[in-house]
Amino acid sequence: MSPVGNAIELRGLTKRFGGTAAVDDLSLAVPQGSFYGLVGPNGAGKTTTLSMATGLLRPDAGEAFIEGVDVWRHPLEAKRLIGNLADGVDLYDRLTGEQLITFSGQLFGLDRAVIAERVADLVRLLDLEGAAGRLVSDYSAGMTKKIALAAALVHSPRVLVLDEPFESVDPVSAANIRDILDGFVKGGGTVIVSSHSMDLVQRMCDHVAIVAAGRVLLAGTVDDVRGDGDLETRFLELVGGRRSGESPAWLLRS
Amino acid sequence: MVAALLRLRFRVLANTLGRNSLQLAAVVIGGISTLLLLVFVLGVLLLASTQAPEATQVVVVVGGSVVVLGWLVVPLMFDGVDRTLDPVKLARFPLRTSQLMVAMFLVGVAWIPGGATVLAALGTGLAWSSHPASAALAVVTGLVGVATCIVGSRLTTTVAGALLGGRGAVRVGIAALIVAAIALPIASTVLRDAPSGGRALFAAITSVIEGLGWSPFGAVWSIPGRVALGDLSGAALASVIALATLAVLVLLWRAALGLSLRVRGDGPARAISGGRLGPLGVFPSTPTGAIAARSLIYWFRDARLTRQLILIPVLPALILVWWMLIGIDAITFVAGPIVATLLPLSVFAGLSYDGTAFAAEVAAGVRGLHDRLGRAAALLLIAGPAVLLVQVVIAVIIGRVGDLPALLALALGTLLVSVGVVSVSSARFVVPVPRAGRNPFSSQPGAATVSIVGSYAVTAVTGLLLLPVAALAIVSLVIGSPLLGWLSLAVSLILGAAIAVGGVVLGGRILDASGPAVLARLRLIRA
Repeated sequence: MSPVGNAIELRGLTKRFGGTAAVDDLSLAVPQGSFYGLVGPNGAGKTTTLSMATGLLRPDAGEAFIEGVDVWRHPLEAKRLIGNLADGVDLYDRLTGEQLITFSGQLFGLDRAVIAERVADLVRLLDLEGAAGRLVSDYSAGMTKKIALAAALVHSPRVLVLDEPFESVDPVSAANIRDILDGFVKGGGTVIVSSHSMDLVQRMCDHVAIVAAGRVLLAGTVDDVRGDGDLETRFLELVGGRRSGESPAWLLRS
Repeated sequence: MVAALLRLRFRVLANTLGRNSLQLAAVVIGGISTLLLLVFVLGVLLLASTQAPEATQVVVVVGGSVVVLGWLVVPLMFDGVDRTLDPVKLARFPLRTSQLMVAMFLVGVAWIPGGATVLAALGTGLAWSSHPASAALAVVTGLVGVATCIVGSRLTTTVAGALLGGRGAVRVGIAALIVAAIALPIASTVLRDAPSGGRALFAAITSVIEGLGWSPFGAVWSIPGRVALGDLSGAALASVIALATLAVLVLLWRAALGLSLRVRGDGPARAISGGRLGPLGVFPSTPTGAIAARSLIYWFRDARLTRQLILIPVLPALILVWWMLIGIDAITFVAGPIVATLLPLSVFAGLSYDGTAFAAEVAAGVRGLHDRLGRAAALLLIAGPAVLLVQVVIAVIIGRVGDLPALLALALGTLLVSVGVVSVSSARFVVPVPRAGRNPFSSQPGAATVSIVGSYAVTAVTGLLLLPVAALAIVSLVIGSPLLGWLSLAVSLILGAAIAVGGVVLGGRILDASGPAVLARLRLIRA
């Protein structure tokens, strides 16, 4: 079905909420082994797209393939391949961090000893050692993000779909997460991240797609997309909506 | 400022109902049934006006006291109090506590239950229509009575929410103790007089009614009647009690709000390293085991579920009180079955409590069957021992240990059937519930109706399926045959288990087909 070589392939994905299309006939191919950035303004449909690609939200039309497996025809097989960090969903936050990762591993049927080893690794790599035994509901926003990432990694997926993985995460942890992701890509895995940080995407990713109003405006390697300038300039050109240096007159200026 | 808060509340209400038609339907159904109830109450009051003033007085005082008690207690039992104007959310605006109190009070009046209470309270004027002075007075006392109701309900939900807002069974235990502290003296007063029977019991009830007229619940409603009966000094004293009650409630509410408005900073985070997996380390390392362990942890760590566990000791205790009063063994037989129905019933829309965290299961591609099995196992692990214990203790207390097999057949059969039914219903229904960590007594408009209507439907189906399961047990209890008792235990366990398994399988199929759709609905109600 899906051409070999694409870790994620989306074809004509469409989702309407009420009358408005959040995602409008969107197609995207993420090559295997790539580190793919998905950027777009607020409300562009990034989260909706990633939800449909990972089997969380049924599309009105279109198809999604993970490593050639049709997500909506064979959801169980496809989901084993995905490590999913969804944005805008709660966690089972009455569990401790350690319990939450263990729970996720068990949902994928992992062996107890394997889970214990991986939990220890993840807790150490994500700087959560002092918090492993605390309830997730007591975590800060950044720690919550990190524990959700750990839960998405524990079953050793082949494709990582990360919605805003760096939001509220401190610089040290962000660097550690980037190391983990770089290593994952070097090992043959594929990562797609959505982000608002152009800088980060430009430095971290090899491919990027710019999404607005539920459609892909431009996609390709980061070098192709940004051309001579940097990614942020290109993004602002494409998406528009800049107001040149305006600020309300009544707001204090120092 | 108060007007702005009120506009905000109704804007939020309209928006919520606009995006969720089920909730809108629930509000309409709730409104219609409240209207019918109101018509009934006004009819009773009109009828009472044709009776002697003493009889009218009994109707008004008892009715009024029940309404006040209802406003204090019902919001604690159902998700009934609207918290759009959550003080914590409004803490960053320059608002006086008194402005907030006025706004919250008016919100309480200007909605279905509040409006109905206002009309019913004004309706007490009807009951005194043959005594013009009392009728006019009843309008005033009625409004004071409504104020008592609404301020009281705000107070109890604020306090109970503060007690239960966090987590942990300890706080639930405290709440249960408070309830017991209020209920036990009343029960013991009645009980002390009860055993002397007939006439003495009637005297005891009369004295309770007389006492109600002087109690904080009933004093305000007794004033017009005292005037009609010519007891002016009594009316003055009752007025003092009524106004003092309202004043104390307002002051307590103000204090409680003040406490909850204070922003609590986070204490320094204690470092707690891992190593304690709890049930997750004990149950099989499979999807079913993980879901069972997580559900079990939530029953004790999620205040919204933990408060249901209060039922286990409280309901059988209440039933025993009734048994001592009336002396009919049959009413104690239902204690176990009631616990066996109500615990599963509290999760008839169990996925609602997961909220969008359910995405973890959808993302992992968990089979519906495994989800249903895990949740049913956790429920059985809690309700099973509880039901057994209740039924055995009761059999011993009422001295019918010989009937234990039939009693257990009744209770365990009920439990298994209920588990089967909620395994199906909770795969399909999602109701608006407060999110984890919020005041478990807060709710969204219509939520009470949705959960009440839904639980009626679930109870009806359970009852229907229960008929064949429980028939033999009931027959054996009537005849008192031990052999039949053991036989009924075997039959109810086999039939019950079959229904439980059937429910789990069917619920699993439904969930397989609709997992992402359920998640989408959970996102919608995540307000």
